[in-house]
Amino acid sequence: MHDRIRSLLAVAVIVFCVALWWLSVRISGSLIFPTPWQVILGMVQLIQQGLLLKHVAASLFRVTYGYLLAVTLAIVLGVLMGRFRGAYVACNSLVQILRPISPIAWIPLAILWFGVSDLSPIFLIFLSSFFPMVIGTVAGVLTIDRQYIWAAENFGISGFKLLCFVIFPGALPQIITGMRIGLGVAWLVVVAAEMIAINSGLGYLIIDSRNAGNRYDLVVAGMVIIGVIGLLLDFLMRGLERLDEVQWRYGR
Amino acid sequence: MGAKICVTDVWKTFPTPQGPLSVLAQVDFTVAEGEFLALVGPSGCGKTTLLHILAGFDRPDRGEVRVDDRPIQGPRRRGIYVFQRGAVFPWLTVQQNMTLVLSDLPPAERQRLSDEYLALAGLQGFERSYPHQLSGGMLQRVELARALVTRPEILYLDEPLGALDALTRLRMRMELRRLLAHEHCTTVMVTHDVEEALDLADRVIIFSPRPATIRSSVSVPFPHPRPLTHRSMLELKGQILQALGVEDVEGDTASVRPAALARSRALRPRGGRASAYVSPVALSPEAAVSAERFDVVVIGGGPGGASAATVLAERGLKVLILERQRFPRFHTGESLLPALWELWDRLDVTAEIESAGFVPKQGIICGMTRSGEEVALLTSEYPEYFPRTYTYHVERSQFDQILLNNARRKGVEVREGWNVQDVIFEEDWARGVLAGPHDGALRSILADVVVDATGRDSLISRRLGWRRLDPALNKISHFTHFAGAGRRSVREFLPEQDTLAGATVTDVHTVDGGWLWYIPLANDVVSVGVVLDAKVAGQIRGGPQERFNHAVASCPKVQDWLQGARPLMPMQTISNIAYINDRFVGHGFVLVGDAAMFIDPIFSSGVTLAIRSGIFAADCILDAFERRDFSEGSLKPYEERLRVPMSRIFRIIHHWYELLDHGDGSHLFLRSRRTPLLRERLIVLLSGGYDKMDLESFLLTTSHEAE
Repeated sequence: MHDRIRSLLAVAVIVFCVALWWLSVRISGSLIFPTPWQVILGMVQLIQQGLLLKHVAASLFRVTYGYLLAVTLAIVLGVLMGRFRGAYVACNSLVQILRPISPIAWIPLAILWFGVSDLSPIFLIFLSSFFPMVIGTVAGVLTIDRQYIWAAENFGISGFKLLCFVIFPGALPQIITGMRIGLGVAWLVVVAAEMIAINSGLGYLIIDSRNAGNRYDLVVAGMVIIGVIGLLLDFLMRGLERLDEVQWRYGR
Repeated sequence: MGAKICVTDVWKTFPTPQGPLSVLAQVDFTVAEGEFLALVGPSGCGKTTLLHILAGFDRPDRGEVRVDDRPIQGPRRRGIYVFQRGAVFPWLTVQQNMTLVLSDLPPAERQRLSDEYLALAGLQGFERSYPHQLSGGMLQRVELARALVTRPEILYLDEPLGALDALTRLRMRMELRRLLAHEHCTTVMVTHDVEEALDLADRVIIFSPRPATIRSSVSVPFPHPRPLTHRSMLELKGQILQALGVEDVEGDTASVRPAALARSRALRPRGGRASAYVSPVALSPEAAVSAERFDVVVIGGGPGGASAATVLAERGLKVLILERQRFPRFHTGESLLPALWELWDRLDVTAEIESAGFVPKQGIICGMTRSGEEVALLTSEYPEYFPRTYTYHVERSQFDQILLNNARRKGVEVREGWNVQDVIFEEDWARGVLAGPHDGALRSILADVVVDATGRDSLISRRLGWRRLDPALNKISHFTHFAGAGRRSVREFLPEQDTLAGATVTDVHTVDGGWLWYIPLANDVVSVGVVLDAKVAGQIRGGPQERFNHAVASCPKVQDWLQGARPLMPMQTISNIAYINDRFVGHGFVLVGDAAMFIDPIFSSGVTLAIRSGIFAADCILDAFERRDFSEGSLKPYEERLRVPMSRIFRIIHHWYELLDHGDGSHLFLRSRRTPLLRERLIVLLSGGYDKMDLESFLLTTSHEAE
C-alpha cells in the first residue's frame, strides 16, 4: 500500500512538471519551444524515419567500447596500486592530477590525435570513466579487512590465487560502486563528444536538430531519450550489486 | 611430551603519537605438545599482540618464539589463527571457504575433507550458504571447521566466542571442546572470560594490565565436562580473579575493594538476554532413562527454597532440595519482620520458632546522628495489622536450619553438600538438573519444575543474563558479631506491661556515607553492620575494618555501646548491589528469593520476601500441577503476584536513599511523629506488610512529606 502511494506520488510530480511545461509554453505563446505533445510527435517521427535507433545504437556502441576498456585497465591498475606500495607511489600522483581534468577539455586533443572518427569519443569516454574506477578499486583493495589477508597468508594462499580469491572479491563491492559512477560519467560524456567531433549519435542528433532548422521538438526528444537510457544503464549496474558475492557488503 | 611452543623473554613496544607504548614485557612460557593453554588478562593488556607474535603476524622487539625448537618466520599452515571477529571470507560460500584453504589437494580429496569437517561441525545443508546468511554461532563453526580441516598442529584462538550472544556462547563452548577433542592439536586461547578459560583449558596464564607480564599460572586438573560450580573450581576461579586484581563482586568475599566495585560493570553475558541456554551436558535419551525423577527440584535450601519445598511436599508432591553447604551455616540478615507470623503458620513452623529462644524484636529505632534525635517505630502502635506485634532477631544458622528441618519433616528429600552444576535445558524448557555430591559423580535429576533458590548466586538468571543491576543501589556492607556490647531494652519506649521478656529493637542509625544496623541476638551477641555507598566507601582509606570503624565513629551512641566489646569473627564484607530480574519464570522453572531479586538490607525485608516468594511460587506450581501445564504462561501468575509489590518497594528504597543523601535524610521518620497517616504506613511497611496497604499512597505521602 505504501509502495503504491509512493509511486503514485512520483508519477504525480512528473505529470505536474509536464503540465507546468505545457502551460508555460501556452501562456508565453512561444513559437520555438515545443509543447510536450509536439515532443512526442517528434519522437514518433524519429522512430518512423529509423533515425532514433541509428543514433542510440551509435552512442551505445561508443560507450561500450570506451567503458569496457576503462573497466579492464582500471581494475588492473587499481588492484596493482592497492596491493603494491611501489605501484601506488608511482601512479597515484599522476592519477590525482589527471582525474580533475574534465573530459571536455580533452576534446581538442582527441580531434588532433584521432580526427573525426569513432575513436575520439571512445577515447573521451575511456578517460572519463577510467579515473573514478581506479580510485574505487584502490580504495576497495586498501580497505579489505586486514584479517582476511592474514587468514589467507596463514592458510598459505599467495600470489595470483590471493589476488583472484581474496583481493579482487574483497574489493569487488567498491569496484562495482566505481563502475556505476564510471558508467554514469561515460553516458554524460558521450553526448558532449558527439556534439563536436562526430556525425552520428544522440549528441549529434540534438545539435543537428537545432542547427538544421531549429527543430526544438527533436532537441527535447533527444534529451528525454538520453535520460531514459541513462536510467536503464544505472538499473543494469544496480543488478551487479545484487550478486551473492557482494551481499556481505551491501546487505549490511 | 616436549615443549611445542617456547616463548623466551618477549618484549614488544608500539610507537604512538604519545610516545612508545609498551605492551609486552618479559614474557616467558612454554606450551606442551597437545596442551590447551588459556591466556587471561584485562582487556587491552596485550594478549592479542602476544598471540599475533606466536602465529607469526608480528615480531617481538626482543626475545624469541620457537615452535618445535625452530624460530618462527611468518604465518604458516601448521599454526592456524582464529580471529576474534572471524575471518571467514564473506564473498565465498561455506563450501568454497573450505575448499580454498585445501587448494593444494586434488579436487576429490578437497571435497571429501570439506564434507567431513562440515559434518563434524554440524553444518550439513549450509554448504552453499554465504556467511552473511548464517547466525553468529554457525559462522564461528565455519571458522573452526575451516581451521581444523587443514589439520593444524597448533590452533591460536583469539576470543573465539567473544562476538556471540550469551546462549550461543555457552553452546559453542561445548562445541569447541567437542571439536578440539577430535583433533588433539596444541591450543593457545586468549580470553578475558575466566569461566570460559576454566571450562576449556588445561592451564591458565594470568597477565597483568599493559604492559602484559605474567602474574601467575594455574593448572586445571579436572576431567571434562567440568563441574564449574564445584568448590574446587570456584576456588580456582577465586585464585585467578585475585591474580587479575578483581574480586568476584557478587560473591560473599571478605575483601572486596569498594573502589573496584564502584568502577565495575554489571556481570552479564555480552550480547543481550537469552530465554534459555544449553547446559554443557545435554540430556541424552540414555541419561533420561537412568535419571532420578522428582516432581520438583529446588536448588538451594535457604528460607525461600525450604518454604517452597514445604508447601509443595505438604500437598503430596515429590520434592528434592539440593543444598550446596551443610547446615547449620552462617548467614547475615538477622532481623525479621512481624509479617512472617502468617507465613510461618502456613509452613506449620510457628511453635518451633517460638520455642527456639530467639530474642524478641518489638520495633525499630531510627537514630539521626546529626541531630541526635531518635524515632521509635513500634509495631504495637497498630496492632490490628499483624497477628502478633513482635518478631525476632535470629541467628540465621539456627533459623534456616529450623526451616530446612521442617521441610524434611513434611516429606521433602534434602541433600546437603550437593553441588548443582547446571540446569538441563531442552530447547527453552528446564527439564532438571545436573548435580552430584562434592567430590562425587554428576548425575541427571529430572523434574517437571525446577525452583532456583540459589540466593545471590542466581544460577539460572546469571546464565541467561536476566539480571538488571541497579547502580543507584550499589552498596557495600561490612559487618561482624560482638560479645559484651551494650544493648537497650524496649522498655525505654513501651510501658512494662506491653513488653516481652528480653525484648529489644533493631537500631538503624545514619552514619557518614550510609547507615548502620545494630541487632542484639541471644547469648550477649550483637550483630553490627555498616552499609555504605560503594563510591563513598572507596574514598575511605584502609580495609573493611577501617571503613567500619570510620562509619561507627560518626555515631556516638553505637560507639559507646561497642566500648570494650569483643568481635567474635573477622570483619565480613558483602557487596549489596541491588538487582531485579527481567523475568522470574520460564518454561519449567521459577526463581525464588534472592535468585529473583535482591533489594537492600535497609528494611530487613530479605528473609520475609524470600519466604513469601517461596510460598507464592509453590502456590503457583501447585496450580500448574493441577493443569499439568508447566509452561512459562502457566507459572506467570507467580511473577505477577510478586512483581508489583517488589517494584514499589524498590521505589521506596530509592526514595529513602535520596532522602539520606540530602543530609540527615531520615527526616521522613522525624515527620512521622507529627503525621499519623505517614507513621501508620511506615510502621506497616517496616513490619513487612507489603500486601496490607496501598504502597502507591505511601509513596504519595512520603513525597508530599519530602517537599
